[in-house]
Amino acid sequence: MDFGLATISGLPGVAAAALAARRIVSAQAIRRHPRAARLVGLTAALLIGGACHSIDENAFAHNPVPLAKLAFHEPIAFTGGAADGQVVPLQPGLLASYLAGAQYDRLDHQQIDANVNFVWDATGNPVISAPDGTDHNDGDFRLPDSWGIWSVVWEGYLLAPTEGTYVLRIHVNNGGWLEMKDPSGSLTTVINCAGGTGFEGDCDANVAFSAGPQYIRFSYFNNAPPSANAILSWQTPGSSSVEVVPTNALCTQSTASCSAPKRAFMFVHGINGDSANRSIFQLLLKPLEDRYGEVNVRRFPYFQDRAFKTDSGCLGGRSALIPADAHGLPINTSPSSLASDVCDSESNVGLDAILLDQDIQTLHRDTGAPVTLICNSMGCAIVRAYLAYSVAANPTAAPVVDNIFFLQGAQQGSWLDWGSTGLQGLSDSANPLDRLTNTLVSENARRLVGFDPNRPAFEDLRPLSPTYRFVNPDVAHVPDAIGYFNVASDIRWKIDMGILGTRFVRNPVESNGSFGDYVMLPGPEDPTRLDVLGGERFDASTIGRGRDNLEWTLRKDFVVKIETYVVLLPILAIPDQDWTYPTPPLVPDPFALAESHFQLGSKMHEITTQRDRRTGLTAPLDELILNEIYRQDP
Amino acid sequence: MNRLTPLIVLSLSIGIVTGAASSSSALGAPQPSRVLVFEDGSGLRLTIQAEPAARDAGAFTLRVPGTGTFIAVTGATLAVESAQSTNVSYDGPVDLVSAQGTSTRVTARLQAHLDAPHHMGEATLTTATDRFHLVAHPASRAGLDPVLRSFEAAMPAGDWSAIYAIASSDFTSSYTAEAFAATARAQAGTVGTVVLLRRVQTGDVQTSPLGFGYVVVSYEVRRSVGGVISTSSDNVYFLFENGAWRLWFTVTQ
Repeated sequence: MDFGLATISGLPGVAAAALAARRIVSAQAIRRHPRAARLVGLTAALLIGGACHSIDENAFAHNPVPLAKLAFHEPIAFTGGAADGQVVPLQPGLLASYLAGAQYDRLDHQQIDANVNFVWDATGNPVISAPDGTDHNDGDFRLPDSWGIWSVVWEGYLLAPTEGTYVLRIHVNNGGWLEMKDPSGSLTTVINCAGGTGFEGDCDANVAFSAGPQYIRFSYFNNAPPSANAILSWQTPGSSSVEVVPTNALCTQSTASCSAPKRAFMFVHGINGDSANRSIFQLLLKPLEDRYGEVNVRRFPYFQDRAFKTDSGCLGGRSALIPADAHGLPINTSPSSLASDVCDSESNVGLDAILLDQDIQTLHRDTGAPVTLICNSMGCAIVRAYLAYSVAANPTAAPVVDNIFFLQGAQQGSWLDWGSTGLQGLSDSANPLDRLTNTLVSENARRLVGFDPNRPAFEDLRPLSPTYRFVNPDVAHVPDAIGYFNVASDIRWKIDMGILGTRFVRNPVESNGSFGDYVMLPGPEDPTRLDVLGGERFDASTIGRGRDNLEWTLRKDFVVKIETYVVLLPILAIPDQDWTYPTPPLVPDPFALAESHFQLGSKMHEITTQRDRRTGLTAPLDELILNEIYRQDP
Repeated sequence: MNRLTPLIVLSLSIGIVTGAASSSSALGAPQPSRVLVFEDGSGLRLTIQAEPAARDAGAFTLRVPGTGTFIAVTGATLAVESAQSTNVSYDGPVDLVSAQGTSTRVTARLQAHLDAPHHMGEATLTTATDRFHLVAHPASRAGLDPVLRSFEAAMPAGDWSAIYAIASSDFTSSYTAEAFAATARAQAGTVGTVVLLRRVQTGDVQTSPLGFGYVVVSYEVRRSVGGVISTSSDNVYFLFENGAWRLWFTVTQ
C-alpha cells in the first residue's frame, strides 16, 4: 500500500479557528461546502468575537483513538457489553463505536453503520446517552444551553473493486483521522485532519492499494455546535468524482464480498475433544466465523463436558442438562459412566443426540438461519443419532438443518492412518505389530477396500450417500467407493500364519486388530426391530477408544467379509477374495427417513480427513470443505 | 443381544513374494508406482516413490531413529541413468514429524543413489544442524543354512519348541513357546504330522521393494493324516529379521 501525502487543514484550538477557516478556503485540497462555510464562519465569529465561552478544557482529540482505548485486532470484534469479544458478524457497513467526549472518553455504545455520511444537529446531543458527553453555554446566550461532545470510531474494510490509486477523503466537523494498515500490519495514519473547534472541511489522501478488503479506522470527534459532520468519501481509479463510500463497498470483516448469506453452523467434535484442537478444524472453523460471524458458529459440548464443566481441552463448560423427555424413544437418559478427568472419553450417543437437537433448535431460533452441521468422528455418530431422533421427536417440525458435513478420518496413529498416509510411517516401530505384517496388511486392506492412494486430493470431497456403503457389491465398481473405508473404522483383520498346514493366529490374545478409528453409527442393530434408534444400541452405553468393536454394529448397506487371500508382495495383486453381501434389511431405514425429512439429499457429505499423503498436512482439505460450504450458500 | 456380524474380518495368509513393480490393483486402471524402502542396520530408513511416471514421483520420507521422520513437501528429482542407477536430489522444505506427532518444517537436502534391482542404496540427508547417511545393502545369505537344517530336523520330529526357536517375531510376539507348541499339537489330529521333508530348491536371497530380505525354499512334504499319507509341494519363506534368518510362513503350492 502506498500512502500518498494527506493534505490537511485546520489547527486545533480556539485561537486557531479563524486562521483555520481561511486555510480551508485557500487550500486546494480542501473543499468547503457552502453550508459548512457558513457554519464555520458563524462558529469562528462566535468563538473569536465573543470569546466569552470556551469549550471545556482539553475537549479536543489530538490523535486517532489510542489502541489502549479501542484495540485493533482482526477479525473485528465488539468491545464491552454483552457481546464483548465476539466477532462482529459479517455484514455490509462499518462497526461504529460511539464514545462520550471528544477524547474517546467513555464507550457509549457500538452499532453497525451502513456507511459514514453524517450531518448531525449538534446543538443537542443526538448520539450519546446522558449525562456525560455534554457541554453547556455557561450563560453565553449565543450558544445552546448544552450540546453533545462525542467521538466516533468507525472501523471495517473498504472493499476496493480494483487495484489502483484511490482518493480517500474525510469530511469532518470538528476533526478526524483515517488509519489503515501499513505493510507490517500496524496501523498508520493516512489522513490527519485534526481540525479544531471551528473546523469543517475535507482532508484527502491518495492511497494506492490492491483490489480487495482494506482495513480502515476512522476516528472522529465533535465538540462544538451547531453542527457535526462526518463523511467518508472516495474516488475510485478511473472515476472523475469523489463520492461517499457506498454501503456495498464497506464490510465489517475482511472478505472479498460482503454479501455472504446468513448461515449458522454447529460443530460436533470427536471424542476427547481432540478434534477441536487439530489444525483442520481450526483452519475450518475460523474462516467460517470470519465469514458468517462467530455467534453463528457454535460448538456442541458433549453431555460429559456439560456435566463436569470441563473447559480445558474440550468444548464444554455448560451445566449438565439431562433431557427430561426422550419422546418415548428407547433412550436411557441416565448418564453413562463418567470420568471427570477424561474429557469425552466416554459419552452417551443417545443422550448427546437429544442435547444436540436442543442446541440446534436454539441456534436456529437465535439466528433465524438454517443450520449446517459439521461433525467429526464420534461427533458424526451423534449427528446420525440426532437425525433419527429428530424425525421421531419432531415429526412435524420444519427442518432446520440444510447441510451436514461428516468429517471422518483415520484416527491419528491408527493403522488406517498409517495406511492412508501411504509413505508416512507405515513401518513405524511404535506400531503394535511389527512393520512387515503391518505393512502387508495395511497395504492389502486399503487396496481391497477401494482406497486409492493415487487419487487426486479433491476426490476426498465427494458427496456420498447419507449412509455408509463401505464397499460396493460389484467389485468392478470399487473405484466408485473411494474413500468409503476411510470413513469407517470397523475393519479388523485376523491374520493366520501357516507352517505346513498348522495354523497360528497372529496375536491370539488380541486376535483381531482394529484398522482405524471407532466410529459408532446408530442404526438397526436388529433389522426386525423398528425402533428408530436401533433399540438396545441406544441404551446408556459407553463409547470410548479402545473398546472392542464387537460391542457395536455398524450400520452399513453391505457387510463385507474379506476372506483368506494370499499376499503377493509387493502387495499388488489379490488372487483370492471372498466378498459376501447380506441382503439389506427390508425395514424402514431411519436414515432414509431422516434424509427425506430434512430434504437433504446430496447435501450430506462424507469427507475424509486423513492427511495429505505427501505433505502429511490436512490444510488442503479445509479449503475444499470450505469451498463446498460456500458453494452451498443460497 | 442379537447382532449382525459387525466386523470385517481380514483373514490373511501371508504368502508368496513376487517382484512386480507396478500397481495392478482391483481399482481399475493401474497407477504407476514403485515405492522402495531402503534400511540400514542403524534403523535409518528411506522410503521413496522411485517411479518417475508416478503422480508422486520422488516423494520420500527418511526415518531417523530417535529423531523422527523427514517428509519431503514436494517430490525429489529422479534422474534415471539406467535400470540399476537412479540419482535422487532434493533441496527444499521437509516436515520433520517426531514420534510424538509434532511437525516442524525445515529445509533439507537429499542426495541419493539407488540401485533398485539389487536393492542397494545410499542416501545423505543434510539439514542446517544434522547430517544423516544411509547405506543399504541387500540381506546376506550368511546364517541361513543352520536355520534350514533346524527347520528340516524339527518338522518331522514334531519338535515345535525347536520351530519356535527359529520362528519370526510374528509367532514369538503372539505366542509363548508353550502356547505355540500346544496350538500345534491341538491341530495334529486334523492337519496330521510331517513324516518327510525334502528340500527341492533354495532360492536366491531376494529383497522386497519394502526393503526386507527373504528366501523361498521349496520342499516336498509328505504327511500322515489318520494313517493316510499325502504329498505336497510347499514353499517355505525365511525372513531376514533383526540380523538373523527366521522362519516366516509356508504356502502350499
